[in-house]
Amino acid sequence: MNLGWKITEGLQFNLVGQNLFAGTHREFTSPTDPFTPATRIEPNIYGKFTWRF
Amino acid sequence: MALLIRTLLAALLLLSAQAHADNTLQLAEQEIKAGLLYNFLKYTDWPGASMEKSPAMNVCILGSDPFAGYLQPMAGRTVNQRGIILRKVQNMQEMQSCHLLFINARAKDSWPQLKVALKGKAVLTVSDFDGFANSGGMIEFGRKNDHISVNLNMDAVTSGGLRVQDRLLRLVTLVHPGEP
Repeated sequence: MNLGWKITEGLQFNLVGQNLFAGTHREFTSPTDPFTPATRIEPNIYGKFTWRF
Repeated sequence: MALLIRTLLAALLLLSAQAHADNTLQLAEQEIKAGLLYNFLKYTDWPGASMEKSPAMNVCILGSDPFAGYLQPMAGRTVNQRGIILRKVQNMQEMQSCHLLFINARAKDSWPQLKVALKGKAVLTVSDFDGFANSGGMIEFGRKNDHISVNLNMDAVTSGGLRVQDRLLRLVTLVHPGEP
Protein backbone atom coordinates (compact mmCIF):
# COMPACT_ATOMS: atom_id res chain seq x y z
CA MET A 1 0.00 0.00 0.00
CA ASN A 2 1.41 3.39 -0.95
CA LEU A 3 -0.03 6.77 -0.03
CA GLY A 4 1.49 9.92 -1.50
CA TRP A 5 1.14 13.61 -0.54
CA LYS A 6 2.40 16.42 -2.68
CA ILE A 7 3.59 18.91 -0.04
CA THR A 8 4.85 21.62 -2.38
CA GLU A 9 5.80 21.68 -6.04
CA GLY A 10 8.83 19.39 -6.15
CA LEU A 11 8.48 17.89 -2.65
CA GLN A 12 6.49 14.74 -2.07
CA PHE A 13 5.99 12.44 0.90
CA ASN A 14 5.03 8.80 0.50
CA LEU A 15 3.92 6.37 3.21
CA VAL A 16 4.44 2.77 2.16
CA GLY A 17 3.12 -0.27 4.01
CA GLN A 18 4.07 -3.81 3.03
CA ASN A 19 2.57 -7.10 4.17
CA LEU A 20 0.16 -5.30 6.50
CA PHE A 21 -2.58 -7.91 6.58
CA ALA A 22 -0.93 -11.32 6.48
CA GLY A 23 1.00 -10.85 9.75
CA THR A 24 4.37 -12.47 10.34
CA HIS A 25 4.64 -15.63 8.30
CA ARG A 26 6.99 -17.88 6.38
CA GLU A 27 7.46 -17.93 2.65
CA PHE A 28 9.50 -20.19 0.43
CA THR A 29 11.58 -18.31 -2.14
CA SER A 30 9.63 -20.07 -4.87
CA PRO A 31 5.88 -20.23 -4.24
CA THR A 32 5.62 -23.55 -6.08
CA ASP A 33 8.86 -25.26 -4.99
CA PRO A 34 9.18 -25.95 -1.26
CA PHE A 35 12.83 -27.02 -1.63
CA THR A 36 13.94 -23.40 -1.68
CA PRO A 37 15.12 -21.12 1.13
CA ALA A 38 12.32 -20.09 3.48
CA THR A 39 12.26 -16.60 4.93
CA ARG A 40 10.33 -14.84 7.62
CA ILE A 41 8.11 -12.06 6.29
CA GLU A 42 7.04 -9.28 8.63
CA PRO A 43 4.79 -6.23 8.30
CA ASN A 44 6.84 -3.27 7.21
CA ILE A 45 6.03 0.46 7.12
CA TYR A 46 8.26 3.24 5.89
CA GLY A 47 8.04 6.88 4.82
CA LYS A 48 9.84 8.49 1.91
CA PHE A 49 10.44 12.14 0.97
CA THR A 50 11.12 12.86 -2.69
CA TRP A 51 12.58 16.23 -3.59
CA ARG A 52 12.77 17.10 -7.24
CA PHE A 53 14.87 20.04 -8.40
CA MET B 1 6.57 10.18 -12.89
CA ALA B 2 5.10 9.93 -9.37
CA LEU B 3 2.05 8.27 -10.79
CA LEU B 4 4.23 5.79 -12.64
CA ILE B 5 6.20 4.97 -9.50
CA ARG B 6 3.02 4.63 -7.52
CA THR B 7 1.52 2.32 -10.10
CA LEU B 8 4.67 0.21 -10.19
CA LEU B 9 4.73 -0.05 -6.39
CA ALA B 10 1.09 -1.00 -6.30
CA ALA B 11 1.75 -3.68 -8.91
CA LEU B 12 4.68 -5.02 -6.89
CA LEU B 13 2.54 -5.17 -3.76
CA LEU B 14 -0.16 -7.02 -5.64
CA LEU B 15 2.44 -9.45 -6.96
CA SER B 16 3.80 -10.15 -3.48
CA ALA B 17 0.28 -10.65 -2.15
CA GLN B 18 -0.28 -13.08 -5.01
CA ALA B 19 2.89 -15.00 -4.18
CA HIS B 20 1.79 -15.35 -0.59
CA ALA B 21 -1.63 -16.58 -1.61
CA ASP B 22 0.04 -19.15 -3.86
CA ASN B 23 2.18 -20.37 -1.00
CA THR B 24 -0.89 -20.95 1.09
CA LEU B 25 -3.03 -22.42 -1.62
CA GLN B 26 -0.69 -24.59 -3.58
CA LEU B 27 1.40 -26.26 -0.92
CA ALA B 28 -0.08 -29.07 1.14
CA GLU B 29 0.85 -29.44 4.81
CA GLN B 30 3.22 -32.35 4.16
CA GLU B 31 4.77 -30.46 1.27
CA ILE B 32 5.52 -27.47 3.51
CA LYS B 33 7.03 -29.77 6.13
CA ALA B 34 9.20 -31.42 3.46
CA GLY B 35 10.36 -27.96 2.36
CA LEU B 36 11.16 -27.06 5.94
CA LEU B 37 13.28 -30.21 6.29
CA TYR B 38 15.25 -28.96 3.30
CA ASN B 39 15.74 -25.65 5.07
CA PHE B 40 16.89 -27.42 8.24
CA LEU B 41 19.57 -29.17 6.16
CA LYS B 42 20.56 -25.93 4.49
CA TYR B 43 20.92 -23.86 7.63
CA THR B 44 22.47 -26.33 10.07
CA ASP B 45 26.21 -26.86 10.45
CA TRP B 46 27.36 -30.38 11.23
CA PRO B 47 30.76 -31.01 12.83
CA GLY B 48 33.53 -31.86 10.36
CA ALA B 49 33.74 -35.54 11.30
CA SER B 50 30.08 -35.99 10.57
CA MET B 51 30.49 -34.39 7.15
CA GLU B 52 33.51 -36.51 6.26
CA LYS B 53 31.82 -39.85 6.81
CA SER B 54 29.54 -39.34 3.82
CA PRO B 55 29.81 -37.20 0.68
CA ALA B 56 26.01 -36.80 0.70
CA MET B 57 23.49 -35.56 3.23
CA ASN B 58 21.56 -38.53 4.58
CA VAL B 59 17.96 -37.80 5.48
CA CYS B 60 16.50 -40.74 7.36
CA ILE B 61 12.97 -41.65 8.32
CA LEU B 62 12.19 -43.90 11.25
CA GLY B 63 8.88 -45.66 10.74
CA SER B 64 6.72 -45.21 7.66
CA ASP B 65 7.08 -42.10 5.48
CA PRO B 66 4.34 -39.65 6.53
CA PHE B 67 5.11 -37.11 3.80
CA ALA B 68 2.61 -38.49 1.31
CA GLY B 69 5.20 -38.56 -1.48
CA TYR B 70 6.19 -34.90 -1.03
CA LEU B 71 9.63 -35.75 0.36
CA GLN B 72 10.67 -37.92 -2.59
CA PRO B 73 11.52 -35.00 -4.94
CA MET B 74 14.20 -33.93 -2.44
CA ALA B 75 16.24 -37.08 -3.19
CA GLY B 76 18.82 -36.30 -5.84
CA ARG B 77 18.67 -32.57 -5.24
CA THR B 78 21.57 -30.79 -3.62
CA VAL B 79 21.96 -28.70 -0.51
CA ASN B 80 25.15 -26.73 0.12
CA GLN B 81 26.78 -28.58 -2.82
CA ARG B 82 25.96 -32.01 -1.42
CA GLY B 83 23.51 -34.51 -2.81
CA ILE B 84 20.56 -35.55 -0.67
CA ILE B 85 19.87 -39.22 -0.02
CA LEU B 86 16.61 -40.40 1.54
CA ARG B 87 16.78 -43.53 3.66
CA LYS B 88 14.37 -45.54 5.74
CA VAL B 89 15.97 -46.76 8.93
CA GLN B 90 14.94 -49.37 11.48
CA ASN B 91 17.72 -49.60 14.05
CA MET B 92 20.53 -47.70 15.69
CA GLN B 93 23.13 -49.28 13.42
CA GLU B 94 21.44 -47.76 10.37
CA MET B 95 21.03 -44.39 12.06
CA GLN B 96 24.78 -43.87 12.52
CA SER B 97 25.13 -42.29 9.09
CA CYS B 98 22.04 -40.04 9.32
CA HIS B 99 22.51 -36.28 9.33
CA LEU B 100 18.81 -35.66 9.84
CA LEU B 101 16.46 -38.19 11.40
CA PHE B 102 12.72 -37.73 11.08
CA ILE B 103 10.80 -39.81 13.60
CA ASN B 104 7.30 -40.69 12.48
CA ALA B 105 4.83 -39.76 15.22
CA ARG B 106 3.71 -43.39 15.24
CA ALA B 107 7.20 -44.39 16.37
CA LYS B 108 6.83 -42.05 19.36
CA ASP B 109 7.07 -44.89 21.87
CA SER B 110 10.61 -45.65 20.80
CA TRP B 111 11.77 -42.06 21.44
CA PRO B 112 12.89 -42.41 25.10
CA GLN B 113 15.17 -45.31 24.17
CA LEU B 114 16.30 -43.64 20.95
CA LYS B 115 17.15 -40.43 22.77
CA VAL B 116 19.61 -42.26 25.00
CA ALA B 117 21.23 -44.00 22.01
CA LEU B 118 21.54 -40.72 20.07
CA LYS B 119 22.89 -38.68 22.97
CA GLY B 120 25.86 -36.57 21.89
CA LYS B 121 25.53 -37.71 18.26
CA ALA B 122 25.47 -35.15 15.45
CA VAL B 123 22.04 -36.22 14.22
CA LEU B 124 19.42 -33.50 13.81
CA THR B 125 16.25 -35.07 15.22
CA VAL B 126 12.87 -33.91 13.90
CA SER B 127 9.37 -35.14 14.66
CA ASP B 128 5.80 -33.96 14.76
CA PHE B 129 4.48 -35.56 17.90
CA ASP B 130 3.35 -33.25 20.65
CA GLY B 131 6.04 -32.67 23.28
CA PHE B 132 8.99 -33.89 21.16
CA ALA B 133 11.13 -30.77 21.61
CA ASN B 134 10.26 -30.65 25.29
CA SER B 135 11.45 -34.20 25.79
CA GLY B 136 14.93 -33.79 24.35
CA GLY B 137 14.08 -33.76 20.63
CA MET B 138 15.70 -31.01 18.54
CA ILE B 139 12.97 -29.79 16.16
CA GLU B 140 9.22 -30.32 16.46
CA PHE B 141 6.53 -29.50 13.93
CA GLY B 142 3.28 -28.38 15.50
CA ARG B 143 0.15 -26.50 14.54
CA LYS B 144 -0.73 -23.00 15.62
CA ASN B 145 -3.75 -21.11 14.24
CA ASP B 146 -3.88 -23.17 11.07
CA HIS B 147 -0.16 -22.69 10.46
CA ILE B 148 2.70 -25.11 10.81
CA SER B 149 4.81 -24.06 13.76
CA VAL B 150 8.40 -25.12 14.35
CA ASN B 151 9.76 -25.49 17.88
CA LEU B 152 13.47 -25.82 18.42
CA ASN B 153 15.25 -27.06 21.54
CA MET B 154 18.63 -25.31 21.45
CA ASP B 155 20.12 -27.36 24.31
CA ALA B 156 19.43 -30.57 22.40
CA VAL B 157 20.91 -29.13 19.19
CA THR B 158 24.06 -27.93 20.94
CA SER B 159 24.60 -31.18 22.84
CA GLY B 160 24.73 -32.96 19.48
CA GLY B 161 27.56 -30.68 18.37
CA LEU B 162 25.30 -29.02 15.80
CA ARG B 163 24.94 -25.33 15.11
CA VAL B 164 21.86 -23.71 13.60
CA GLN B 165 22.33 -20.54 11.58
CA ASP B 166 20.40 -17.31 12.17
CA ARG B 167 18.44 -17.88 8.97
CA LEU B 168 16.92 -20.96 10.59
CA LEU B 169 16.46 -19.35 13.99
CA ARG B 170 14.22 -16.74 12.37
CA LEU B 171 11.84 -19.50 11.28
CA VAL B 172 11.43 -21.20 14.64
CA THR B 173 10.18 -20.72 18.18
CA LEU B 174 12.70 -21.67 20.85
CA VAL B 175 11.58 -23.96 23.64
CA HIS B 176 13.48 -24.32 26.88
CA PRO B 177 12.49 -27.51 28.65
CA GLY B 178 13.73 -27.93 32.20
CA GLU B 179 16.07 -30.80 32.95
CA PRO B 180 14.09 -34.05 33.15
